Amino acid sequence: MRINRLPALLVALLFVAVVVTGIFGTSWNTVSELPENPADPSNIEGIGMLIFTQYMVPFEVLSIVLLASLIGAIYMAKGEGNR
Amino acid sequence: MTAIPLTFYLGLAALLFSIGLYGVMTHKSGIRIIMCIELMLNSANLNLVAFSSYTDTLNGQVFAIFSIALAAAEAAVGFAIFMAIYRMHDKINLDELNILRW
Repeated sequence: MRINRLPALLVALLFVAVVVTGIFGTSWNTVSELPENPADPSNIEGIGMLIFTQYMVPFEVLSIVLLASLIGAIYMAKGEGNR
Repeated sequence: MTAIPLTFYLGLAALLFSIGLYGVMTHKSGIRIIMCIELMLNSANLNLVAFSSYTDTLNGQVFAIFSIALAAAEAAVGFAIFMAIYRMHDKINLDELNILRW
């Protein structure tokens, strides 16, 4: 099978054209200046608070998913010779 | 702190996603396709972090951390699958593999 690069390039360029026109055509309701708290310049603490309060269940589910994928990857990559 | 406009971040993310899309559509090697999928996921992460920073919340960064962890899991499983396929069939190009055809 021979891969045609030109249709792929056209699709990619069409995608980026549509998305960029959508981005620059939308009036985003954002702040003009980034908020900056001099007392707490780091956001690590905020992320940790959010992870362990609001997103605690997805965090635990994510740990289970990582463990399962790691075990599955080791099982698939280990091979069948040295079982 | 003067801010770079949000549209620049979104445009960069769209450009990265487009590069990843082009790579997925043109490359034959499975490793390269996984790398391009990672590029697309990271452009989505860039969008998440940009919106999180411009709305003065941290939810988007937490989502980005979850997305990065899921991308790591997906990459590990994908590379393991390709390693097993290469061990069985001595092929890595996706256009030569028809082991899922019934």
